[in-house]
Amino acid sequence: MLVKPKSKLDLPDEIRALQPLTPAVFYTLFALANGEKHGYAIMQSVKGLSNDSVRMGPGTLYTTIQRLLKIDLIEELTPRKRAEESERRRRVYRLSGLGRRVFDEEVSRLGAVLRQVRLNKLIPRGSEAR
Amino acid sequence: MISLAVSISIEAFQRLVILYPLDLRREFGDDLVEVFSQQIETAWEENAWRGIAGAWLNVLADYAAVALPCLAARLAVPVLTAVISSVWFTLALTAINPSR
Repeated sequence: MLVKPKSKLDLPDEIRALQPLTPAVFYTLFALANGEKHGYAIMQSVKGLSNDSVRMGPGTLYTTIQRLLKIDLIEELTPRKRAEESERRRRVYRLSGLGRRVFDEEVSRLGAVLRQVRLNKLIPRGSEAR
Repeated sequence: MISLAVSISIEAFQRLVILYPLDLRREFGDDLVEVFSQQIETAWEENAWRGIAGAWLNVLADYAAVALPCLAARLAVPVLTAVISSVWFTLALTAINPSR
């Protein structure tokens, strides 16, 4: 049985072209959906959220950040907006409104996939998704 | 005290940052080094030499994913130009002196 997922969000074409999101992009947005972070904190968060299955090196991390900044999915906080004085040297990033919409849409898409898998009774034995 | 292995690793990485694409280095050069430094310090604290080896393996995979495609694209034009020039030169020599 197939159910066509419906998207209620109207996203720009350049964002649509990114979907489905790559693991690096998805987990970076996921990490920032939990709150603003600097580069190393994003890296650590991605490692934890993906159960250690996605490990980003410095280049992959900043290539992803550079790309997401360019298309306004994330934004850099100005120094005075940063919470702690000690964080002044580091660049801190947060999810933009558009980034939140893209993340929500990807989560909905993955949810729809999971529903289909459940409907078709294809979830592997012992899987946490059961 | 930071271990010598950590200091050497950070020093080496600072030199190897040049392998990353220019626009990435210009915008995030210091951040790349800072993130690697934190990564290698944590790796050393948690797993000593195994941690250092793991962090370097991660960096090698990172170069393969980010730096190599960029390097290949940068080298493609000069290498192709050299190959085409050589072929053209050989063909030209053969045409001038067909007996050779």
